[in-house]
Formats: sequence, C-alpha cells, structure tokens
Amino acid sequence: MSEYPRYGQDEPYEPYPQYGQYPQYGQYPQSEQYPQYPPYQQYLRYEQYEQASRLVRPFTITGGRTEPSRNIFTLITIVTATASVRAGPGLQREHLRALDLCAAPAAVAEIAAHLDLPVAVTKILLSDLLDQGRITATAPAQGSGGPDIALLEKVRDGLARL
Amino acid sequence: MPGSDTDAPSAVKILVSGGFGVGKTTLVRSISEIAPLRTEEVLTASGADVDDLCGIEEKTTTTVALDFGRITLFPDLVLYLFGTPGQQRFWFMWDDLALGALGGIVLVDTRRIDVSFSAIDFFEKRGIPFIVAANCFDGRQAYTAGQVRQALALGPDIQLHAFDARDRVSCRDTLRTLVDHLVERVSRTP
Repeated sequence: MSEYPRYGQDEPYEPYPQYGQYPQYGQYPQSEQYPQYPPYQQYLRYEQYEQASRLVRPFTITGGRTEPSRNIFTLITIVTATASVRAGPGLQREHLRALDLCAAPAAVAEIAAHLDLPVAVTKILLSDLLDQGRITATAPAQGSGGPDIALLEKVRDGLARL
Repeated sequence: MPGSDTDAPSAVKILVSGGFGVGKTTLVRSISEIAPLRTEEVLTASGADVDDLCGIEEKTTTTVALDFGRITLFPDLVLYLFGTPGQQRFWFMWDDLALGALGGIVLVDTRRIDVSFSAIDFFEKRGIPFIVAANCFDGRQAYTAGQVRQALALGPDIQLHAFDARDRVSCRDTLRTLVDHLVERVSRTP
C-alpha cells in the first residue's frame, strides 16, 4: 500500500502481492480446490440430486456456514450500504452484488430474490457485511412486543393515501 | 440494533395466504409497486409424521418459495406483502415468515373452499389476526356470505370481505379492511 493516495484516484492504490505472498499449494480456499467426489454409492438418484443441488450448492458460497454470525436479520430487515467502497479482502462476488443491491435501502427478502439465493444464505452474506461495517440494518417496525396502535394507525393512513 | 440507521425506512409485513390458485400472487401483483419478487428458504423438519418402520430418525429438508411485493406507505415506512406458498405444508414451520406480521389475509375461492382451510388453521395457531377475503372469479359470488361463513366455520369476530384480486382498488380496500380490523382489535383490548 503506497503511503499517499495517488492524484486523481479516490481509493488508495493496492499493489499486487509480492513473491511469497501468494498462497502455497493446499492453502487455497476450499472452493478453489478440486472437489472431493464421494464414492458412487453415495450419489443421489436424479430426482434427489435435483432437489439437493438446489439446497447444498448455495452454502458453498458461505464456505459451508449455515448460521449467520449475528442472528438479527429477518425477511423485512432493511439493509443499506454505508459507503461506496466496492472492493476489499474476504469479499466474494455475491457480497459485492449484495452491496450493490442495498445501495438504496432494501429488505433482506428483496436482496435474496435478486441474488437468487435462499434467505438463509443471504443472511450469512449480509452478516459478513455488517461485521465489516459495510451495511447498516434497520429492524422491522413491529418488534416482538406485539401490536402497536400508533404503528397500525400509520399503516391505515398510508393505505388511505394510495 | 447494531448499525442502526435512522435515515433508512423500517418495514412492516402482511401475509396473504390461501390454497393453490386462489389469487395470492394476483393480489400482490395488483397492488405492489414493484413486479412481484420470488424468494425461497430452506426448511428442515424432523420427519415425525412419516411412517417409518426402520425407526430411523430422518430429517426432511425442503425448499419453500414465496412471492412478495412492496408498497411504500411513507418515506419512512414500507409495507411488504408476502404470499405464502399454498400447496406445501412445510411453510408452516417458517418462523421468520410469521414473526412480526401485522396480520393476515386468507383468500378463498368459494368454488373450492377446502384449499384454504390450512391457512386459517395456521393463523389461528400462530395467533396472527386475520380476515377472510373471497375472490370474485367471474365478477360475482356464487354463495352468500352466510354460506361461506358456515362452510369455513368462521367465528363472528372474523371479518369476511368480497373482492377482486385483479383490481388494484379492490385489493387496497381489502388491506384497509384488515388494518381497520387490527386497529379496532388493539383499541378494544387495552
């Protein structure tokens, strides 16, 4: 990393890795290594495979994690990107796409739909981004405390304006 | 909440439920400001109700998809409408879907009332307030309100509303009927 931002560039210039900084053989992330094929007895029947591939494959995006680091996201939690920084260490293509999708405030369900990923996978990606401070999250208006008369009246007034 | 942002709107949701082909997605499409989106969740359930002679505990994993739409009520308040999948029984276990819902609309097709029974069961078991909306498929209702109430075994406190899912104003009025019911219900029980 150079000490001063170069003229005309918003983001600091990031040099290529030097000799020795590349990962050694075997140190590549699991997703970049050759897949370990199971013995043929463990292969699924076609109809099972069709179902399972839709289930299993998305979780390879999360590195096999099935739980988010913070369990605060719901379907209608609104997430908003905080900064325009689009690159960074540890971010995958799906993270960047999620960041693009929440440039304007969007619900978790919307981001999942546009990413074409299950909600559970999207929540894991979003909690990664939240941990890095790249997004903010707004909780649903109705918490677990039950119905709120002021909120319901506001919804009623909003529907009347449609 | 960590990383909370005051500029961003907060959201509420209403569930639209009912059997297969009763017009859930049509309702969402009629009133949503965006083209309905489809999202899916992976649900896991232990197969307790599966007759298994081997006695092996088997877990069933299934994908459930739902369509939803968005209505911006105010700059700081957005309403999401979620159409629950009709033909699958697994979405009953989707906690995130039921949690924090303002209320629900059960759509019925009066020619096939039985397909919406499970949706009514769901809202009753989860304690989510709901109204029943009868979709007019040929522009008219084949049965009277009393007949529909009797067929669905609705209590007197549950509202029955006739509407046309293809008509935006009619859908809006259905939502208003639900929210009026919710406001009245909360103000009745302090």
